[in-house]
Amino acid sequence: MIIEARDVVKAYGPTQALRGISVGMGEGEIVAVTGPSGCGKSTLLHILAGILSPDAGTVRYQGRRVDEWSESQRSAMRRTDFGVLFQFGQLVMELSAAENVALPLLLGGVRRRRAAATALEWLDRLGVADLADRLPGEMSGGQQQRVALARALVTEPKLLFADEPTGALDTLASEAVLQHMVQAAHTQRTTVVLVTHDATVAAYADREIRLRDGAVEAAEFALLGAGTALSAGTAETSR
Amino acid sequence: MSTPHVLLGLLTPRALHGYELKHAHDSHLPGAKPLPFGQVYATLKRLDRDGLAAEAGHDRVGGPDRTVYEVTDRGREALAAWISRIEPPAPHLSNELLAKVVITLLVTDEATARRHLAAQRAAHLARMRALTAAKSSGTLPIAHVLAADLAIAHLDADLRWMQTAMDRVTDLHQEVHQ
Amino acid sequence: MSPLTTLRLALAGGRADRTRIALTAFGAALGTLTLLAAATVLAVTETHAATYTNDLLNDEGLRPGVAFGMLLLTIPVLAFVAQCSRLGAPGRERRLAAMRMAGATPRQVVRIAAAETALASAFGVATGYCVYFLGRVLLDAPGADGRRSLPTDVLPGPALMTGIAAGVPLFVTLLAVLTLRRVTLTPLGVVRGMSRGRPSRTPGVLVLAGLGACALVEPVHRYFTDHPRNDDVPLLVIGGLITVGVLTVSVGVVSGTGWIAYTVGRVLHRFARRPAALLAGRRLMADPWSGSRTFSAMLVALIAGSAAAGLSALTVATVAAQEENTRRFARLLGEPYDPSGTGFYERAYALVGYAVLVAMAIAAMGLLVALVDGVAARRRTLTSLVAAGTPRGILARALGWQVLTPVVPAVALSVTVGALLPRFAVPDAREAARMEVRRCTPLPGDPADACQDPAYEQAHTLLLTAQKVPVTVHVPWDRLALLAGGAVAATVAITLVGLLFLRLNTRATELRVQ
Repeated sequence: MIIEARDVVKAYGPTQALRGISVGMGEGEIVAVTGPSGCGKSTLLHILAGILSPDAGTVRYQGRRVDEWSESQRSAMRRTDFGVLFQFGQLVMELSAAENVALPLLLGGVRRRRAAATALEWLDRLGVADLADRLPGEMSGGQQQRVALARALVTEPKLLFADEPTGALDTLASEAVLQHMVQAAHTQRTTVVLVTHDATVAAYADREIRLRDGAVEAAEFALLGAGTALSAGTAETSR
Repeated sequence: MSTPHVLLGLLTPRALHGYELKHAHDSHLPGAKPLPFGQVYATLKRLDRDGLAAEAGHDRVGGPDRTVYEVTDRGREALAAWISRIEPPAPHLSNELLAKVVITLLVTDEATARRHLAAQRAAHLARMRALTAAKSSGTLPIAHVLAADLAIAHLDADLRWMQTAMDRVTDLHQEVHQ
Repeated sequence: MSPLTTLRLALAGGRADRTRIALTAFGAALGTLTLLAAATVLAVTETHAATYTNDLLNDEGLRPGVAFGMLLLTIPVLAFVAQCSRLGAPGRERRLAAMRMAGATPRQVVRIAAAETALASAFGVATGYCVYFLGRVLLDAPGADGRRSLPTDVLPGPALMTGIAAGVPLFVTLLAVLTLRRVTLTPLGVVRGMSRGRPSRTPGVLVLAGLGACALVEPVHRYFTDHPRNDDVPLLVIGGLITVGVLTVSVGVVSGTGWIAYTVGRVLHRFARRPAALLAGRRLMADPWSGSRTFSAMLVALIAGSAAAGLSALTVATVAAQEENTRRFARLLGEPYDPSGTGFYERAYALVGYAVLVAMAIAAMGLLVALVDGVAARRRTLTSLVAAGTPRGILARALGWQVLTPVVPAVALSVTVGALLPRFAVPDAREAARMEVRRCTPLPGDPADACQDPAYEQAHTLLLTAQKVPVTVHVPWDRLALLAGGAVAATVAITLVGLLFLRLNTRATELRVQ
């Protein structure tokens, strides 16, 4: 397990977002966290990524209790070890695509010329090298998400947290982003936590953790055995 | 599915004999049931009789004498008419999944129903995952990608319907027990 | 739509809207107080004269000037209210667009927005009146001799009082409606009227043209001295030149801030090694006008302040030279000399200094509002950056760069231009002529009235000469430095307050707000 949450509880005022959740992700694994809206999946992602602190329970990253760390420690960890990808609005509107991708490297103290070169490499890997000098406002939603993905991966993070990364995209644009994400994650052995409500998106993951009302409804590897008898007959008949 | 029109479409780019036609069919429509040779030959005869296709020579290379067929002008017209005809948006209501879920919800309690549906969901997702992985590999011909897209869309529709069904039943239970 | 519905819809906003309403009320209260103060000064009549410790209030001729100065103070207050009406504007415009989608007519939407401002400013005016009457009671402290430091014993006439009470909300509401006119609220969203291109060189031309207009004052003055006329034309021409010059320079400097910001942004972007400077540079290039919108009130106050400082130095120098010449001339005449000193002028200019200080304080509040609004508008991006591990310190530094780098050159420019204005405008008395007096001085031993005798006078008249001292104007470095330093220090202080707000706005919970 590269990251593991145990008995995590989180409430926003009177609303219980998570009621004692335990999940874990292995190294290089792509895990989809799914469930209807309001089930607590985004909150779980924020807690795993160290953006929010749990009210109770523990979060371990590579065996270390990160929930006990200070905000600046967690912030530094997010910068070096994690990448994040949201539905929209994460690119700095005033910076060009290349500058946006170079930003995490610059924050880490890399010199500007080298950061720019690495950023270009990543834009090229994601097939958007020709957009390097464009501002986010001059790109389509799918192009923006590919640039955002390049920014999330440019530091070669151990973990990538993606929260509905294709929620605002059409099928083909979404497919391009997800295919690039999966490919990059597999070659780098990056663990991906992919939050989505969409089964076609979850199908890009290796397995699914399904939440309902702030608790795990089904974690796939645990229930596969019980379900095979029923599913064997029906899987093929569903056209 | 209208086999005559599909065969007319496959003959349009170039003339084929029956054996080639069967393989063209099976590789272009990977999701469909493989076509028996008998049906291919019978259909070709019928197309020839109706003037939609015509014999275009014989191919004798390495084996028995094979008749090569090509599309006639009337055949092209018929194909165009078929393509422009709207398919009735038929709801797939004669479906085993529907029957099974309805019966499950009727005869079991909510927890059992949820467990069955979760297992069903896992099976669906596994199939979607396999299709998605195949599609992402980048080596699949376009016809296969399109077939995978359609299969994924249908599986997704099933999943969403199952979720809604479960939520409806939960609501119903709550109403009844209040 | 009933008034009650309008009210309900007008007050349906969120946090940013509530802040805007509060600040609009605050600005209206401030404006009301300034206007009431000016009206009170005007209400002082002859019977009250000489009952105040301040000569500016006692002098019949100076009182309108004091009142006019206070009226001028309402300009930065209005700039502040205008700034406030932009706070949270994108959110409000989206809400109004949603109301259009729900079937509201364009007129109804404007009425909803106007209702909000009218209500807020009416509340502010009421508060202003309360503070005014409370202040009259609390500050009314006649000294032992019955003289007061402030005119707390007079009240403006009822007509003026009602005029202010009705006029301020009306004016503020009108201002709000006018700013809304720039955006077209369609049911599908907001279409902004103006498209803003890159800043051009026009501001530089404007500054030079304004200084040029002022430089024309001296030759024109000399022309009219050589060709005297009996009508008002010289006064009108010279007054016009000065007015046009000052206005052109002010517009030039304010719009020049856009160019300065853009250029500074480009330089930062080119040479930035660190992400903070890169972010700030790009932000400045993307919206160079936000700077000029934000600083305009402060820059105008700075121009006025440094022009006053320059004028003060000039007046003091001129008066001092005149006094010295009078003294020398009196000695030639052998008469006693009683200097009057420059104290009165210095007191008057000190008052201008206070007014500039108040104006700058108000301008600084406007800057804070703009800063806070800028952070709130980019909340999502900033929070995403924090979520991705960007230290808040970097974002804070970027904000600091973004505010301060254009401010320093803009402040330097306004102070320089302001100090130059009077040097160009006021004819320089540089002639170092000789004074000549023919006078009969009795020889020692002769009677003092010996000169009464024409023969004696004839024989003993001498030509006495003295050199006139030229007017030497010293650049008032201390005051200019104080103004510039004060402006920069205020900006730094405001930026620090803005950083607190940045912290509040980049908490992870903001990720949930779409």
